[in-house]
Amino acid sequence: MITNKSRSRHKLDFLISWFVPVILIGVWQILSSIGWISTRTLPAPLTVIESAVHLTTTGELFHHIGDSAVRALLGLGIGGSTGLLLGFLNGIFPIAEKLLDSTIQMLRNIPHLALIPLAIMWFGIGEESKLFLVALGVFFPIYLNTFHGIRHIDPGLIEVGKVYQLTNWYFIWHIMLPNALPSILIGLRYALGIMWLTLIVAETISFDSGIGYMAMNAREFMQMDVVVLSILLYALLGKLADVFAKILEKRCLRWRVNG
Amino acid sequence: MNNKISGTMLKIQGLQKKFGNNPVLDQVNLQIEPGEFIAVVGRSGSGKSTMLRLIAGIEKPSAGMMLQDGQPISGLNSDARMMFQEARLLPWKRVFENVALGISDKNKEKRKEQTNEILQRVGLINYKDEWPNILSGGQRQRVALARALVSRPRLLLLDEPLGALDALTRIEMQQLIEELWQEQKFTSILVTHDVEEAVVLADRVILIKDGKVGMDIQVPLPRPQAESSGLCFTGWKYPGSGYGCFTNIGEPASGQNFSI
Repeated sequence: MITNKSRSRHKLDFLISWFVPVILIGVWQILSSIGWISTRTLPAPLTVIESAVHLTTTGELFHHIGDSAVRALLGLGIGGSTGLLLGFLNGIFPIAEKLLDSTIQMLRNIPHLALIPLAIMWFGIGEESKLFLVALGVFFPIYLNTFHGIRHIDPGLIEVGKVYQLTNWYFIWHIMLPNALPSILIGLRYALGIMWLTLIVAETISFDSGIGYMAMNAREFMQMDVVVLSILLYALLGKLADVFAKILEKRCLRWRVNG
Repeated sequence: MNNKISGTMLKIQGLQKKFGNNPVLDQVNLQIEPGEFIAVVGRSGSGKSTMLRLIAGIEKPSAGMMLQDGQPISGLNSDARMMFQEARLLPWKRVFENVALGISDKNKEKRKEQTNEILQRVGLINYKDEWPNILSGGQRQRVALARALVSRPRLLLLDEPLGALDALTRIEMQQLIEELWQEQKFTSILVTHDVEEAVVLADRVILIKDGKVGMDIQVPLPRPQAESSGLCFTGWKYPGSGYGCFTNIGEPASGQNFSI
């Protein structure tokens, strides 16, 4: 009974959250149809859908999305794992923190997109420069939050570890890591946002494939519908990444039930 | 169950602990017999908790000698388990895993058997797959007690473990600790600021004052002391029901006699 009720409640919440976007698109379509919005300023939603269908049938759309996704995930993998590793290292060993942390904090203050010219000169306009920028962008939020999570541990639990004479391995794996996990996952959510942002910029500067390339290419040919489609794709992928992060959070933090 | 296991004997001589230049404990002399239940009382800041932490080996003494069964305590005391004022459970491990943390034995079957046994004993076997977050304060302390006792330690150190509990839960826990102590025969040192609790549970009450043992008094009462001390203040018991002031709470039947 209760679960049924809460499920329909969930459904309702879900519908409510989509109410405003659907209305906005509806108004947009109507204004375009009656000619209040010129198709040169903004194509009608139906035109965008048509071009999406067209690009899907030619296979072009998935080719670009696939390329972008691979780039995003590879960059996240490289930058994220480095951040995680260094966060752990500096969180656990004070000597590593002394050695590395101030350098990392200095680098953190450079906006990573400012390094685009340098990245192009180092790596050319191929995959490497894009991966470099994405990895650099996601590194900092993951590093900072991992470090923070490791450091903020209840001293009481450290004492429990001592009294019960837990091995270092057990302590790191079963106490430090789960203790830091909520913080690490917050870092991941930040990183996912930065990942798409970086990719949008990186893909518009160097031409071969990807959603950014699709958008820039369409601009050359004044294909307004494809430009808008690319922008919507980024919004959708960004949302998807966020949903994924939320699911991960729910799964990993099951123990945070309300007492 | 196992007669070979019994409590440790402790001999403390000239124990001193300084924080900075301030001696918190100074010249503590104390002898504790195997299987004895000692309560340590004193004002807050009197160093009673510090003494417990020194015996556990979490902190190092500034001077003096601590002998356990004739051997000096150096480093962490592996015969001792400690309970704190907060349960200090791992919120990301279920109750069973939290208790099993107390066992160093790698044998899975043995771990399972011992953990289930002690969970049964503290009355939480039905909660073994729950997260600690859903438990009440008293239940969490029972999990912490199970974790402390699952490995059958020879010395149990209790640092005001009942301080944060409500009165009824507190009396239940006192009974449980007393029962388990009588079954397992470990030596027990309870730090408390509740003199009543000290008298109910301990064979001997020690007052720490000005960093020294100020008083050392035997409690000359037959067990259960809760009844014989007359401290069974709000409970009633049925005639012939024997032990426990609060075990029989319920409808007052005719013929009940109040313990005060």
